[in-house]
Amino acid sequence: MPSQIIKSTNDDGIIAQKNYDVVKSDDVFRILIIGDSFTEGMYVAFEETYPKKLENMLNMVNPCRSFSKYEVINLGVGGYDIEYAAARVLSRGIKYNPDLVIWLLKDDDFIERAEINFDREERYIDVINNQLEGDVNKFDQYQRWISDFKYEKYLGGIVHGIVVKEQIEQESYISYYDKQSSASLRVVTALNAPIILATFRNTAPIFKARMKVWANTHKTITYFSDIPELQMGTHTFEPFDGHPNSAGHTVLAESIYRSVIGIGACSSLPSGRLA
Amino acid sequence: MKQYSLRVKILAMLIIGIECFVLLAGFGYVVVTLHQSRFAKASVSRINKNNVVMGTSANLKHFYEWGANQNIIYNAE
Repeated sequence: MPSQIIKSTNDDGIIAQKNYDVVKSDDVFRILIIGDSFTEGMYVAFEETYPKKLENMLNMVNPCRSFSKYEVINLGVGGYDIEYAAARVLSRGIKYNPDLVIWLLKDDDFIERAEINFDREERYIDVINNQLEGDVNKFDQYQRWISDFKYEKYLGGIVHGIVVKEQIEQESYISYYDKQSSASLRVVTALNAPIILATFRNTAPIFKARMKVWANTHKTITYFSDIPELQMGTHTFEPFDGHPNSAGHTVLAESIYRSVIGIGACSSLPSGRLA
Repeated sequence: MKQYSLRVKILAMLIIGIECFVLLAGFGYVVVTLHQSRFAKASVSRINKNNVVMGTSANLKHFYEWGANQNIIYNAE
């Protein structure tokens, strides 16, 4: 892994090497990609991210005869969950009037709900600081707090990244947040563009089931769950970080490219938009 | 020993098959229900509903975005 990677945002706060015209020309097929740090391309250069690789593939093959140029706008931001990704669409995405939306979702987007976890993080950090009273030597006390957090299934577990799969797959926990997810879906579907909900083959079945339901209840949503599992060390950074490296982003780009072609995203378009 | 016709034998096998299916389905339903109820008890009590914000974007307290023309630096160390 390189020691330091620097990327820049454009005038609209989007990681990109240029500004995008709000009004696009008819020959441009515009794709909006939303998601978390995988989509943002944490730790990799702009050219290595899967949205950029996807854009390059589309421009090289030109699968849509109605268009001559493909733009992939990357709205991914590290730490986003479902709700924040939808909010990002509201704040930045709508005005770009995309022809297709791709939403990469994985287990933690369902589990680590940002609004709740940030509150908890702040609360626990305050608690720890109060307990330690600034004394770094109170290590034993700190360890006890950490231990206690582990028993707080959704609080300490998430704060410290210790999320046990058996816990997160509980139906009651997930269904509790369905209402929020529905609100988020309403925002994204309001774009009136086809949406590909993309996820990994090894995503937890309960989350796949949720995505299937969304696809079945929204005619503009296509569910795609054929992204291969990223192999630790081959497709991701070693040794402990699960973020994709350049090879991992290639896997993502190739898979999502297949999904775009698979749904015939543009072949049936006479004049630039799907019905 | 009484010999039954092929038709009767097939009918008997069908009935036995249906009975087995119904019994297995019933047993499976009980197992799944017990399993889910155990998990439900374990999870709901841990959630503080006061911390849950319903809706999207309007009241997001911690929502953040990159600023315009900002450098994003990833450090490997």
